[in-house]
Amino acid sequence: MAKQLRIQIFQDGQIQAEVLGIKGKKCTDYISLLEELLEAETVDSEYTPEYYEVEETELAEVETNSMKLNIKGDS
Amino acid sequence: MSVSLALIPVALALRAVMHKDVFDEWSKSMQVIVPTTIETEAELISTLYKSGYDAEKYGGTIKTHLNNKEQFFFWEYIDGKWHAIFAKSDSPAMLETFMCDLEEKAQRQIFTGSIHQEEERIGQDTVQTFPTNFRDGNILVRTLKEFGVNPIQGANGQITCNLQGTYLTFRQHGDAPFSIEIKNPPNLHDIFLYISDLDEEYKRCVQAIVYEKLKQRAAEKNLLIESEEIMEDNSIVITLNIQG
Repeated sequence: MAKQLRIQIFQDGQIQAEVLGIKGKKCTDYISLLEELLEAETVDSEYTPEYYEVEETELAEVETNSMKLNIKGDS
Repeated sequence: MSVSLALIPVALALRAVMHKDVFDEWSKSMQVIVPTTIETEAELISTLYKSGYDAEKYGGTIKTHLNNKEQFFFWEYIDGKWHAIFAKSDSPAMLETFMCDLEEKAQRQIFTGSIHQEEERIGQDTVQTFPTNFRDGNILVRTLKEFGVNPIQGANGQITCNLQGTYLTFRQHGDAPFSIEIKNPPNLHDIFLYISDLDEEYKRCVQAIVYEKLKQRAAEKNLLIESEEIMEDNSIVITLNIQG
């Protein structure tokens, strides 16, 4: 899925923004970017199931680190 | 989707309810302003926390809840001191209890006025003060001009205009939203309808400005616009591609 920011600007000035296609905690990196792009303050946020999924690369990093720890532990 | 956000542009405050059918509610939002001895934001927040109250930063002001979060009021920084901004509709007994409780827990005098004094002053005053949702003076002036009113912007940032013989003064303290002072209104309801229209137009103006700035900033950051669409409710939806 493409990595995207979907922004809806309502007629009463309120804004709804969504970070799409980014799994895990990385999506929160885009909150400050959105605030900067929109010159706006976040008043509410909600994580969706995708947030709790882990990117394959993140998982691979965790596994590699775990293996390194095991090797150190063996020696 | 992984995170969904609700945002408010810094030019806007969601503080005053301005729909045309809520005149009664709006008229009760007339401000009762009680000054304090507190000079810094840190002192205000620390005093509130130590006394068991909250202090939530909210659109250039600080919001404190009362009565188990059922009610709230704002603090504004005016001329070097923090002021409690209550509404005329708030129960005076509840406010007096809060003020006494805060002073008792802080073990010092905090408020330099009382609810009774302020309400008496409002009763004698020919000027009535109300909250607004406007935080950006330039957008406010632009909106007033579009309404065919000739606003005069003072050096201190205050904006005055004459609407059908009634003087309106928009006054802002720091980053807080403007309050509106209405002098001798012959018909407060008519003035409310006008301000309600002004509120709607101001918000439309904010929508247009946010849209333009978003496109400009997205280009500066090399974010490509995948699509943009105007919805039935006149909201604008823009989808940006994130590189990498």
